[in-house]
Amino acid sequence: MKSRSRRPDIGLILAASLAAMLVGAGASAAGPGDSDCMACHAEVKPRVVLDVLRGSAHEGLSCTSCHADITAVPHGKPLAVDCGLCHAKEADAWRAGPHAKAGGPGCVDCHGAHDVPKSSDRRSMSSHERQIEACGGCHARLAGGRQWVKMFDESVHGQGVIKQGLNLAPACATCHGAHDVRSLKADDDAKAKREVARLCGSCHEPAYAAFEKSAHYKALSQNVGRAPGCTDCHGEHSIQAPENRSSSVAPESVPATCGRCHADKSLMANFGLPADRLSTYLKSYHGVVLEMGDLRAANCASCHGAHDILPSSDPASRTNPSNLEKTCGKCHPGAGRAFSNIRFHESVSPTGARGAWFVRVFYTIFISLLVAGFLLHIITRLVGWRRTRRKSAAPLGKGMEGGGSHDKS
Amino acid sequence: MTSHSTDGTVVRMSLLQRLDHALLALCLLLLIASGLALVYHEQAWAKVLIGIMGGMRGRGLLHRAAAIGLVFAGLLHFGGLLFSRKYQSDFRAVRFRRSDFSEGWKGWIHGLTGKGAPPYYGRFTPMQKIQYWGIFVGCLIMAGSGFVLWSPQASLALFPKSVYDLMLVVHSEQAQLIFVVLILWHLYDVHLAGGNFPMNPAWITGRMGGEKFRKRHPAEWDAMQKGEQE
Repeated sequence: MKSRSRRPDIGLILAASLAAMLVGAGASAAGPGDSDCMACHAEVKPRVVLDVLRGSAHEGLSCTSCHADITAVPHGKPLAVDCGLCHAKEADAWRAGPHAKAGGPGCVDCHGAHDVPKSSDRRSMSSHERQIEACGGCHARLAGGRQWVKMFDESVHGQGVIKQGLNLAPACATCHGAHDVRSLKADDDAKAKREVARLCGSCHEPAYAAFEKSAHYKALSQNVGRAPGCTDCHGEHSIQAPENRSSSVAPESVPATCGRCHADKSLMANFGLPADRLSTYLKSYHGVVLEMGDLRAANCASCHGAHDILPSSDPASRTNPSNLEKTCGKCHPGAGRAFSNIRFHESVSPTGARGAWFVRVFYTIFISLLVAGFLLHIITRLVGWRRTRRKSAAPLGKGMEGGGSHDKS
Repeated sequence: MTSHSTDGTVVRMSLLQRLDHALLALCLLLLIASGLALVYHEQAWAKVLIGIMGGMRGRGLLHRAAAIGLVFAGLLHFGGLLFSRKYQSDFRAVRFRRSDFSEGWKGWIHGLTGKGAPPYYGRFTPMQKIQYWGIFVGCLIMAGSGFVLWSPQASLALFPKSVYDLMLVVHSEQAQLIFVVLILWHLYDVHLAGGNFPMNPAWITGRMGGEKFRKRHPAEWDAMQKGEQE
């Protein structure tokens, strides 16, 4: 574990060494005491204000508790402080994490050197309130990092911490861990998605309990990596409450969010699921009305649920025929048993609603013929009108009558 | 019966017919605007229309209000057929006859080529009859399918959803048919064609000039002359 110490000025070291020799009698056989250290470091770099140390999480420790390699004064170049001497678990986690591997920040970068407030203390950069600032300070400088940081700051979680000072709202370390700094990148990894779900569930218990029963979680349990986990629908750093219109799970955005998978023909073919759920929904009255901005209209989640989605063949599913009366009845209070027999998501096609498709084809042909007839009608009248106008002998207006055999009253 | 007036004009529409026609025209225009805006909701013009109507909710309310107006116009029409002699006389005249086919064909050839005898039309031309019956049947279909769509709860208690879906297709397709017949064809005829620009005023005044009537509806004119002589 490394600690960042500044290279002391050689002249000052010599002067400090001389001073230390003069007070050498003060140093006990167990090593120099704090007063021995301060004899020099009150003036010599790195200067230390002992009061700051005393008010920190490390109050009660002596200088040599951390600078354990210094057994006498004056001393040569000290070794880096190993925080792991006391904080072994955290140090091991840090060593295994990406910060250590990438030469990123060490202990003092987040916790401070001598002034190490407790993490519960708002003065600490590692405190819940300030870690967004601490992590964001570096990560905004990484590729794409500024966007991440901005997204999080504007997210429901970020706003909870920054604006409302909520300890319940997660800050960076809540999800990524403080020392191991997990990436949480799941992509198509079912196991990683289950881990993320468990992590989200540590706060969102009811949602996690419902999700565990869903068809999506069942697929994840069977290591189907393309099945959705929490972040596939809610996003990662940009998570917003469903009430926020920019949320991917806001009513008006739900169809597009579900449609990312359920309108993907190749993906749905893998699971033997129909890929026309989004298109048939968008053509339905529910879809049209929602698209026009009436948020009361049923979206996917209104009927299928959000976290506990099950196939309609499952008796526990909201869209199982035995439950449709109740599900539809949420919006249609008069919904009777008739709703149980409804076939939803049916397309007007030869393979779907055949009767409606036939009627549509009939009308399309009939209207086309009428339009053609109308055009012919206009042409006939224009031809007659031009011909009679050429007959200069005919009085004005008479030509119109003569040519217009279809004149209307 | 079409009748002469002292000023030489011919009465084409009674006051009740004009009111009925005005109500029908207003309601159909509102229904077509609010209905086609829903069918073509993805188009920019439809979005503008829906915005003007106060959003989807306002559009739905306007459509239903105009539907009630249309039904009222229909009831007025049936009431006229039961109690008004003018309605009954016109209704007899608007029925298709075999001569409509031969006169219609003659009229079309005459209009296009200028050859042959001009058509000998009665009180209503074949094209007017097609338009009348088109709207008559069309409105019955629209009202019937519209009431099925009015309340999904009530309809689904009575019919299977396949009927509801079928009515949805019938309603939107028939609306487009009416649009073609009414907005394009009928309005072209009464506003633009045959020297009618800016419009044939009969739907407001109820009258038509005698000379114009004689040329456009010669059979009816001759029948009127004969009736007067007798």
